[in-house]
Amino acid sequence: MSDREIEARILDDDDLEAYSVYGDALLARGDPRGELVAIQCRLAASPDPELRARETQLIDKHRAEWLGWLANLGAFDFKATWRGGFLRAVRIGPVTASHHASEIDFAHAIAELARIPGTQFLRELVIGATERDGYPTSWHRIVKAIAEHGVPPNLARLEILAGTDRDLSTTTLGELWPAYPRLARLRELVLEIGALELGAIRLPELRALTIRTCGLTTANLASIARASWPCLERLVLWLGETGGRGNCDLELADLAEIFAAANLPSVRHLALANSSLADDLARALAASKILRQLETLDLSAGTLSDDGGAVLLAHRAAFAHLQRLDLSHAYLSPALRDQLATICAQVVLGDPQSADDDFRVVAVPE
Amino acid sequence: MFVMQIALLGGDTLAAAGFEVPRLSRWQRFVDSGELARTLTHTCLLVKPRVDLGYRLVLAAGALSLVISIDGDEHVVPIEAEPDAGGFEPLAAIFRAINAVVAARGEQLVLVEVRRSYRVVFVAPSRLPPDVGWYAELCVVDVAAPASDQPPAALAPLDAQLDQRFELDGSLPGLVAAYVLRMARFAGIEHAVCEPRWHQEPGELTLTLSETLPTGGGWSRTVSVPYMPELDVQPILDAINSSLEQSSRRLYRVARSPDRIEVALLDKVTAAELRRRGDLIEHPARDVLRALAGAGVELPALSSTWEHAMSWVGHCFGQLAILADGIVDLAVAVAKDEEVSIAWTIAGRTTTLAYPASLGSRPLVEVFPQMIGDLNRLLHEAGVAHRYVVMTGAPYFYAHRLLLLDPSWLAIVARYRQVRPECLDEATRASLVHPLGAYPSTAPASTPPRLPGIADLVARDRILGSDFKCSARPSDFPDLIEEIARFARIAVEIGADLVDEGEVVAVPVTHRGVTSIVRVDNAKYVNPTSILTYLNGLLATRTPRHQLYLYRAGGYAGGIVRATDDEAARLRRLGYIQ
Repeated sequence: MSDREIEARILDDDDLEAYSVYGDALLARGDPRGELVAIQCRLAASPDPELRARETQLIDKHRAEWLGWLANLGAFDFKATWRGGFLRAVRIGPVTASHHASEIDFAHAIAELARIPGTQFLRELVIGATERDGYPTSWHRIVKAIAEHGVPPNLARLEILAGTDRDLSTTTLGELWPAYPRLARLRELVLEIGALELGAIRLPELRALTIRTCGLTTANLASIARASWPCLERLVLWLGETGGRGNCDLELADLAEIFAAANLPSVRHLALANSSLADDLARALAASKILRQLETLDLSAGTLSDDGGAVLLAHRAAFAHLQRLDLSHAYLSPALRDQLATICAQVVLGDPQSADDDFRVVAVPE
Repeated sequence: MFVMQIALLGGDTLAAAGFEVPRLSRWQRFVDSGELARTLTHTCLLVKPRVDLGYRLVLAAGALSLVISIDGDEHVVPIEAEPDAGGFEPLAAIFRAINAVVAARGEQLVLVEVRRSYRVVFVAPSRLPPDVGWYAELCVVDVAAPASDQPPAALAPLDAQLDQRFELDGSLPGLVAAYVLRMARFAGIEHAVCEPRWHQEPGELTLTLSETLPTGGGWSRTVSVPYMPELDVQPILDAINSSLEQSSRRLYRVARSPDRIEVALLDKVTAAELRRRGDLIEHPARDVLRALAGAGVELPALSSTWEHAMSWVGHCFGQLAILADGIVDLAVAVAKDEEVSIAWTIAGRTTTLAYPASLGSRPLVEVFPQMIGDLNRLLHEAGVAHRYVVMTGAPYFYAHRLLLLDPSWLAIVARYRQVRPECLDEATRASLVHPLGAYPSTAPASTPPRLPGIADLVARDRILGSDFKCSARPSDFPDLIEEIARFARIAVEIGADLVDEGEVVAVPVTHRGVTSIVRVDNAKYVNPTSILTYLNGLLATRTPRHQLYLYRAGGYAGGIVRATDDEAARLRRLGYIQ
């Protein structure tokens, strides 16, 4: 089997045996990565402290060779996950729950990642919170770096996270479209950011799109509505508070294309979350075409009240086929919550808000 | 007071008359810095063509004495000013004493405010416009004399006489300020200004670095540089770097040769490369401070004295004990009688430490770490390797944090000047193996324990940050009540008829047609307790039940949190709410 054939098998099946074969070929060529492949394949089968120590020793020894410039980054700013001797996932930047932002040059780190050999099996890249220097903090250099230098060839999942533990509205991604040619093979894209410009989306392989924001705009929705999504199965959109501090300007009519599912033939999971239009969304969804194709629906983190809850109840037949309906962070009275709990197989009613509240706010307003 | 007899002097004329005096905030400094003598000399020169004025200013046995001579006659001018008193009033009193002698000639020395600066002018008081400030009134004596119509004399400004100048405040803070300014300009902060603060913190040079942009707006930073035989440049770089938000470059200290250190303006990539080579001088290490910024617990501001912080210290000790969960079984009880007793129970053994009442007036920033040091000795005796330390970590954390560190972390931070020295005794310090360098660099494997912050326990939209330490008038109360009510998600209408009842102000508040009276303390700073009590009554009937609580977090942070009963229990256990 040629290298190309083995690589294809690894990519198709993620089969450790294929990794092992690949490792043997590397060992035969005197490539030290072959030993790492062998060790990690054996460790996957059974933990062995001695092997684990050897694995650490090998990675430390060849750190500069296998991680390039990224080897300079400390554990705070960089995490590599290995499988079968190769990078499987990389995080650049601190985990967003760590309450810190990184001071590294993210654009440079992305450029350096593109230069590392042996990233053909890297499937996941998470770009964490950058230092908030300037207002708003712009991530456009990160997009620009992806556009210029690309990402590993078989990257399947990309997350760009500003961190919802701080004011999302102070962050902006800028224009994403220059990066699309580099992300054509992406299967999942997660964006957690205050503002972004999607432009003409070209992500034909995408299976899941998540945009967590407090400021989704009509332009963003228009981009989603105009795009071709032949494979998209999960669409998660946080909308924001219309007219609120997060710069969301959506009206219900802006979501008509989504309700019609015109370009979303494969979507089975839909989230229209963190929205101040939640009651209207419930009403519109009840009569929508897209509801019929959904298996799971998420209306959480918004301002769903008894009005919206009553609509769901009145149209319970339309929602009955759902495997899961998420109504967390809803402003529902206890009696209505009890009734809603049974309208489909699983109804999630966590983080309840008071139905008596005079002001209803979304979970992440800004 | 001023009766118009002849044409009033215009603003332009006044702004060019006499001479300008510095804004005086403390009399003692005015005297010690030589400004009083300089002002009196200028005054003599100002009136010279018309009055033969001289003076002798002496300090004897701690008392200041001023003798003025007018046309050869000497007059003793009593000076009665507290050292901390403002400087303008005593100066006005001196002018008044001089005026008592010279006023009959038609002109008087007057301290006037002109276009936001202060000037000493020698004019007929009746020619002054009415808006020259209160100090002018203190200067002038009421003598019936014909007003002189001579143009007011002027002392030529220094600039007109010196064509080459080196503008510098020669004091140590002034010299450092000039250095900071030079550094800021080097970093490209074009419109930077740096000046020593009037109030200098003990042990530090305290400066203000600011920039006012020609297009409007600007910023201001405090630069605190410790007094040390050799200036620590890092706090200066940190302050400047925090102002370089729009730039991709920052200032770093770079070792260029064994005996030469430079400050360089670098992008992050170059800095990372130099750091890797060991050429970047960063002490303490950035990564260490950054890792510790989220560890332990942030202490409330240590700016108070021990006697004013008893309740505060009690809850800090409670947090300290929680921090030890899983490391050592630690409990504490604080009792206050004539002295303060702290009973530490470590692994089942209780030791009571007594602190004399005389500690009461000492700064908390010294006393609290001393108590932590005493606790650390007990930990040592109990065979526990961890120690508590109190430290700051600019530029990542400016308020003191209380950290519980194992020996690997202690060995790193024990030599940092940011660690309060009282925390660690010599025996502990001597036992530590300090890592001074390693390649490749390694970080401790352990993660210091961390107390959850309020935002970890309650959703962000249920935290309203405000310590209510802004001066508030009763007319501000309606807005305040509305803001807190909106935060509680309760719609209220505030009646127009506020009633001042002396110690409280009664505010009519209507919710869903029911009007209640909320009585808010009529104090300089708002006490929102009564507002919370009113709103909590309304919230109590709602499901799920939330209540509003005043919280206090680290530093000066505080505010109101809206929490369920379970959340409140957790917040209370961690000492954030009462």
